[in-house]
Amino acid sequence: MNDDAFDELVALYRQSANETAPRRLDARVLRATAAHASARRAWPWLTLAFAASLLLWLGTYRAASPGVPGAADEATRAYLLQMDVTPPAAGSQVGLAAGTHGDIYREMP
Amino acid sequence: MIKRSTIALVALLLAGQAQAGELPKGWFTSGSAPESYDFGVRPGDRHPGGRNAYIRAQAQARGFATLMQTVDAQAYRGKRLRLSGYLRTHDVLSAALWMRIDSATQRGAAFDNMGPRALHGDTQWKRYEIVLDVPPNAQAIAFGFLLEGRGEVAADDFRLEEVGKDIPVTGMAQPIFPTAPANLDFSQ
Repeated sequence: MNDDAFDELVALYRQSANETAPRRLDARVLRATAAHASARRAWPWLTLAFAASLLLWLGTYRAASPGVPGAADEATRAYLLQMDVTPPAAGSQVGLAAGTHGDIYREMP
Repeated sequence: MIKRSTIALVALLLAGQAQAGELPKGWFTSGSAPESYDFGVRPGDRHPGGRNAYIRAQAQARGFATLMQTVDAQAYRGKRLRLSGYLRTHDVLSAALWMRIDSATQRGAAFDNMGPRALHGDTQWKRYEIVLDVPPNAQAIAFGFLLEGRGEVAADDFRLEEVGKDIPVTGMAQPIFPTAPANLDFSQ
């Protein structure tokens, strides 16, 4: 008995014993397996795309928003510590070092 | 027709002036982007007949703006000074009192801008204060209130006064240095 005949005999035996799955079921299992494999291949790309969009959105939001407490506080503090505090009216006077702000102080209500 | 146009033009100019607001006497504006904010005074609701100063952010305001004064420090040298005032905020990113004392050699020899105590969002009238020691060589004391980002802050009843040493200071402490060098030969 050759291989083909043996295979045919085994197939007939299995069919008679209801061991073989219908062809339709085989096709469905194959399709599901293929879909699962392609989905698994797509997941890393989907995750990367999502992370990239999130980063882009956060970057745009930060640039468009006037600031977030914390970092902005530090910038404000640094600016306040360094800015010129000479009143405009005293700009042409001797300046802070000479202590010429008596007039400004007397203007306080 | 010409008369009507003239009246309309005058009305527009007056409306523009009212929008720009008037600064309270003795105060001036500063900050990293004062052009992004409106300043002014208006009838207040803390006292009958009183007035409040305000800073209001324009749309898409950036940086911060402050309404401030600078006074000579001579009368306060060696003393402990308290700045207090009432603030009310509406939808602000950040608002605060601030005070900076400059010495002959250092900007910000003493400084506080309320840091973590700054106001955010909506708040009702409340008194806030800053207490700093005035160095013996202090030259100028700058103080005011500021608004950062968005919304509006209103201010009322500021006081700048000497207080006793029993009142704790706020903000940046003066650095304390050793009185003599130590371990110069690294033997320890």
